[in-house]
Amino acid sequence: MGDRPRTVCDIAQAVQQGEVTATEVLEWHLRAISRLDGDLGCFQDVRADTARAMAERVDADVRRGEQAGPLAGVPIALKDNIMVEGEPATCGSRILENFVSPYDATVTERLRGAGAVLLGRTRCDEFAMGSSTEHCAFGVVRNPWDPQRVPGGSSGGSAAAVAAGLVPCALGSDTGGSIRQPAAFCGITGLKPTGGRVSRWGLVSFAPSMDQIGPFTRTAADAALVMQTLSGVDARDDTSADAPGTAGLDALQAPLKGLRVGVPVEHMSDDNDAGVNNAVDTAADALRSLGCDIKPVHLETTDLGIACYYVLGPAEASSNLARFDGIRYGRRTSRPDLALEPLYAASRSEGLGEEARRRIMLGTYVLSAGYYDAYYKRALQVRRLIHDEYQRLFTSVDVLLGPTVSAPAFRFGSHADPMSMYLCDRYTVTANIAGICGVSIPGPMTEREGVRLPLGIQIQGPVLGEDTVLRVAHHLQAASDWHLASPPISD
Amino acid sequence: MSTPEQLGAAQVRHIAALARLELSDQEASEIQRDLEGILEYVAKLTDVDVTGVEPLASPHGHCSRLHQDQPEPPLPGAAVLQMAPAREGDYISVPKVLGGGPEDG
Repeated sequence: MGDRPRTVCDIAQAVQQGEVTATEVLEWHLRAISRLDGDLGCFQDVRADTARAMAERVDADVRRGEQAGPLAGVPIALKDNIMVEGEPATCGSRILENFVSPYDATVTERLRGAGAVLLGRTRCDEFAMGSSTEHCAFGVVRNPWDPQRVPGGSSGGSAAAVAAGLVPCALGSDTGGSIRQPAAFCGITGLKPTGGRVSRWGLVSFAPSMDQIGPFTRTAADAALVMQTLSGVDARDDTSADAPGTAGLDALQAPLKGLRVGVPVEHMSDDNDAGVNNAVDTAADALRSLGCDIKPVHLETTDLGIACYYVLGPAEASSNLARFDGIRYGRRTSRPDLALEPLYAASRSEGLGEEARRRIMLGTYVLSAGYYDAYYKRALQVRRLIHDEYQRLFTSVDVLLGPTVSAPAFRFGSHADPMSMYLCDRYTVTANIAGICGVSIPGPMTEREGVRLPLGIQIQGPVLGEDTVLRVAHHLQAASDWHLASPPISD
Repeated sequence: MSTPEQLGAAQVRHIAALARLELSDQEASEIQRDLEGILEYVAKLTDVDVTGVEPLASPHGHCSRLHQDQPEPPLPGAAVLQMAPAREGDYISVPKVLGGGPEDG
């Protein structure tokens, strides 16, 4: 099956033109999942039957000559914190093990409307809190480049599934790097849109001022096509951006000549792993030869990002996760004869894992009487400084270029100390804090202990700048072959 | 708080109670150690001059708006009720709230 269509763009076009059926496309992917996912563990739940019914509807539309939709027959997996009516949404947590979504998320509804085939939900760190998917209550996800290494997180299942060719596209959510970091670790394209660009209706909240849904794909063009379906204002999410959706493939074509690209010197730290800065320099050279104006810039608030994030994120999480109390839905303790408050505490403590509890405790502390000003208010003031610095910078440059993460994928268990895990996100969190967009694409590969591993290049852009960052990514991919490498475990 | 915050064991218990979490002694001491490590790192925020800086609660300023005050179809009641861990008929069953006795309601 060497020349079958593999990208979102190619599959949608082939299905629309009747060259392949959505059913054939689905069966290729279901076979890949049954062959490889036992080793990888990307999927929490594969829904072959409902997917087959969706594919048949697309095929019927094509046979009747009707519009089959821009994503006709494209198999797409969703992170298990995005709601699909009638299916679980465990968020990687025991406390939601038996939850069944009573409605579709807006993104789910839009994907259905575009003709996509939803084939299942992928594993993630519990409530999207983590950078390795090691904090999933239901099993590990392995990196298809090296099964001894993590896929990144929190959207690790989605990233690994796309990298291994189990699906051409999966959705994730990114609160501090949870799309871009696993995209970097798995060698694929992952877009964190502007805060508000994609409706959060039906995404289980972690930290709503920073949560954002976005796509994992093999190419920037695929991300642009999928974003055209996902983006745009939604009356059910009052924080969704009141702006037209992204422009899709049309936005990718304009040449890059004259584009101003800043490289934050704070992201090109000497502390980055070997090969990381070289990979960014190679990408910068490629952009220079495409006519971009590359210049070093300062992003002085970089070093404050993680500290700010680990006040704001836990504060919002502790409030959001208060709803999981064992009363209306989710796990309730089976211990008999408890009064109400002990029942809350027992249900939560049995259902929530270590990292979720740690962040709830931290958030409760920084919001508690006597500490609010010292932590939460101060972090909001620092957030303003980070936001304003980006805003100023984007008057003199169009995009920023740097590494997504300071190192390639790490081995399981190597960040047992929570603080060391948190620091993995130092180049990604500031985009969430400031509400801007960013994409990670594969750069030149590196090697560790004889194993080839991907490195991520991050391109950040201003509020509503998705079309621009994807255009830069698209031209880089047209001028290089970094995104074409396939991992050893892949279809 | 220019020096890292030291949490006492009693304070960890207090936070756990506010957060409605039960912690074993071992979990409490592990979480105390973890929180102290994180707060030590977070303390770098105190070195920043934030005089006169307006807090920014959300970067969604470009789009936050009020919801239209119009009735919309409610969630499917039966499907929602189905998920309650304990029910009596069309009601969700909870322990007695008033009186404080350990009785199931």
